[in-house]
Amino acid sequence: MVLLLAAACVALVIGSLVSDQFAEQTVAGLATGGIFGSLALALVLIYRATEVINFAQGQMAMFTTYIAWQLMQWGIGYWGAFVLTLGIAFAGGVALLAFALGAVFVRDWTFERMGIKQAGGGVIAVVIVTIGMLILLEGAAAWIWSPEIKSFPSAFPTRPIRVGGVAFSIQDLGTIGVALGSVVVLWVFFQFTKVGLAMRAAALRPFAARLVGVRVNAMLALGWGLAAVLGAIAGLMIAPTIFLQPTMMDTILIYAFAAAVLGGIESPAGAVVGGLALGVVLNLLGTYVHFVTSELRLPVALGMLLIVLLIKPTGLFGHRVVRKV
Amino acid sequence: MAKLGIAHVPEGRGTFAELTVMENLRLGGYTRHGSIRGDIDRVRAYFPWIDERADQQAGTLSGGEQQMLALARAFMQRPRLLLLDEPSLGLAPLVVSEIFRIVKELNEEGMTVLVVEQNANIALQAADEAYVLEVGKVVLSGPSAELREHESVRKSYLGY
Amino acid sequence: MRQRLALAAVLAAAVAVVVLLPLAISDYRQLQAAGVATFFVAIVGLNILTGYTGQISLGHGAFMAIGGYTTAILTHDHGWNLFATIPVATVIAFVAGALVGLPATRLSGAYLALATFAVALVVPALVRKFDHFTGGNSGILIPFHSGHWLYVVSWTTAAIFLVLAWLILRGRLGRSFRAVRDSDVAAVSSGINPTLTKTLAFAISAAFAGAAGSLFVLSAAYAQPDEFGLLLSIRLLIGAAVGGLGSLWGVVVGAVFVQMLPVWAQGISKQAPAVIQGLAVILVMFLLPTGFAGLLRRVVAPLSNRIRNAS
Repeated sequence: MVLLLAAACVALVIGSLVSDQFAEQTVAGLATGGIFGSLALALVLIYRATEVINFAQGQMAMFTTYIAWQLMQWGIGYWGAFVLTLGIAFAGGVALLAFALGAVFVRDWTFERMGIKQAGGGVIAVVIVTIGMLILLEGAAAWIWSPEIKSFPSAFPTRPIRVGGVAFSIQDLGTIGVALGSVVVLWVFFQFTKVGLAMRAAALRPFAARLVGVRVNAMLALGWGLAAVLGAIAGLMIAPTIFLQPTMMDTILIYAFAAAVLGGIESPAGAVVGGLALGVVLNLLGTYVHFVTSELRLPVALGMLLIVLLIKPTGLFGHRVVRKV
Repeated sequence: MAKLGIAHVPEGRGTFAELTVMENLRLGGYTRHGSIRGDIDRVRAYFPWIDERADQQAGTLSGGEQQMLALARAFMQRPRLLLLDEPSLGLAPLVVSEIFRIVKELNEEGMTVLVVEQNANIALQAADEAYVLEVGKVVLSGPSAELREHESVRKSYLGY
Repeated sequence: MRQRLALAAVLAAAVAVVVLLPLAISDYRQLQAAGVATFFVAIVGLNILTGYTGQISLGHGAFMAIGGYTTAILTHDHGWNLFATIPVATVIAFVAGALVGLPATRLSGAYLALATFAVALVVPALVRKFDHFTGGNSGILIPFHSGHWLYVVSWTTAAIFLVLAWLILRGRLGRSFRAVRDSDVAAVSSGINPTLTKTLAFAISAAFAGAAGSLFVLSAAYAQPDEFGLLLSIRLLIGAAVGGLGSLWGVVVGAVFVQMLPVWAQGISKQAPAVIQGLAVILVMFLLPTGFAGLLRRVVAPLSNRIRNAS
C-alpha cells in the first residue's frame, strides 16, 4: 500500500514537471483534498470515540462558518474572527456532547423511576439523531441568516504566484498549508501529550481507561470539540470558493465521508491521505477525461470508491477487526 | 478509584492492545503529577524486556508479557493497594511463577496486594493471609501457612 | 389463545379503519394517506434488511427510483396497464437489489453505509445522464388519478406486501435473517450461508422498495430524478427507526411520521419548518430509541401480562 502511494506521488511529480496545466490542477486538487481530509479527520475522530458516523459534521462546519461571517459583519478582522470562531466551535462541540450525555442520563434515570425498562436503540438511533441535527442546523442557518448565497472573504490574496511558468493560486497553497498544519498539530497533540494519549485510550478501551483514572466522558467531549474545530477550519477554507450558504457542505460531507472510508474509517492518517487522493483524482478526472462532466463527478468518484471497497472492504489503511465469538 | 491509590488489574488484563508498551506505562501514571521518568526506570529494572519492546504494540506481546505489562502499568500508579484478578489465567506455569515472584517482591517493598486466584497452590505460597471463598461466601480464613496445612483445603484445592 | 384473539381483533380493527377511512376524509387527504401506504411498503422492506438482517442501507431511495421509472417508462412509452407495472417494478428492483446486495455482503457498518449512500447518489445521476431513455431532468409524465383511486390501489398493495413480509419473516428464511443478524459465525455453524442470506435479504428488501417506487410515481403522476434524491433514502431510514427496527408493528407509525412531518412542520412554523423537522426527529429518537415498536413492547406487554394475571 505504501509502495502504491509512493508510486502515485512520483507519477504526480513527474506529470507536474512535464505539464504546467497538470501541475496547476494537481495543486488545486490538493487544496480541495486538504479540505476533504480535514472534515474526514473530524468524522474519524468522532467515529473512533463514539462509533457514530456524524452526519451533522458538515452542517456543524457550515454553522460555524456563518458565525465567522457574523463576527466579521460586526467589524472584527479576519484573523480575529478566525480564532474566535475556532474557540466557539470547540466550546460548541464539547457542549454538544456534554448536553447529549446529560440528556441521556436524565432520560434513563426518569424512565427507571417510572418503572419503564429502557432498551438502547443502538447505533442507528444515534445516527438518526445526527441526521436530525443536520436538518435542524441547515434550517436554523437559513432562518437566522437567510438562505441567500453570501460571499466570504479569503485569508489569502487571490492573485496567482508564478513558479517557473506555472501559475499557482496562493489561496490553494494557503489552504493546503492550513489543512496540513492543523493535521500535524493534531498528530503531535495525540502522540506526545498526556491528554492526547488519554483521549486515544478512552476511545480505544473505555473500561481500561477508567481503571487508570482517565475521565472517559470528558475525553469524548474533548474529541467532539476538536472535531468541531477541524470542521470549522474546513468551512472557513472552502467558503471563499463555494460561497456561504446553508447547503454549502452537503457535497463536501459526502466527499469527506468517502475519504474517511477510503482511508479506513478508524485511521486518522488514512482520512487525510484519502482526502488528498480524492481531491487530486477528482480534479484530474474533471480536467482530462471529458466523459466526466460536473454532474458525473460525484457518481464516478463514488463508483471508484466502491471498487476500492470491494477489493479492500476495510479501506486502504484499515485492518480487519478480529472478533472472538 | 485510581485517584484513591488503588490499582486494579482485571481478569483479561485491561491493557491497551492498540497502544505501544511505553504508552501503556505512560497511561499507568496518568493520575500522577510531575515526572514519571523515575518510575519508568524502576519498571525497567523489574521487567528488562520492556526496554527493547517499548515501541511495540501491546497486543502483539505474548500472554505472559501482557500480564507483566498490566502489572507494570498498575505499578506506575504507585498504588497503596494493588488488586489482581486471576493473574495466572491462560499462562504457562513457568510464567505464572515468575509473575508471582514479582508480586511477592512488590509486596515486600511495602505494597499491599490482594490477589484473587484459582491456583491455590501458588497463591498460598505467595500470600500472608488467605481467604477461601465458596459460592460467594468466605468459608475459611487465616494465615496462609495454616491454611496450607488445613485438611479440607489440602484435599479439595491442593490435591494431596 | 387469548393472545391470538387479541391479535386478530387488532388486525380486524386496522383493516376496518383502512377500509372505512375514505368515507370520512377528503380526496386530498386520501392522496396523503396513499403516500403513507407508499412509505409503509418501502419501510417494511427496509426493515427486513436493516431490522431483521442487521444490514444498514442509506440507499433504498435508489430502488424506489428503479421501481418508479419502470412504471413510468412502461406506461408512457409502451402503453402498459398501470397495475401490470407494479409486479414488473418489483421484480426488476429485486434483481437490482441482488446485484447491489451480493458485493455489499463483503461490507458492514460504516463501509456498508457509504456504499449504499453511493448507490442513492449514483442512480439519480444515471437517470439524468441517460435522458433519451428516462426523460432526464424534465422527467416522464403519466396519467393523473384521483386521491381515492390512489388510496385504494396503494393500500391494497400495502396489504399484499405486509402479508408477504409476514410470511417471509415467520418462516425459515426469516429465521436465517435473524440468525445472520445476531451472529455470522453462529449462523454458519447451523448450516446457513450468510452471503446468500444477506443477498436475498437485500433483494427482497429492494423489491419492496421497487413496488413502493411504483406507487410513488403513480401518486405524483410523474417520475423525476430530484424526487428520488438522497433525502428520500434518509426519510426511509428515519421512518424505519421511528417505527422500530426488527418489528412490523410500528411501521405504520414510521410511515405516517415521514409522510406528515413536513406538512405538520410547515403548519407550526412558516419561517423555519426545517428546524421543527430536525427537532422532531431528534426528540422522537431520543425518547424512543427503539422506535414505536419498542414503546409497544414496553407498554403493551406488561399491560397484557397484568390482565392475564388478573383474570
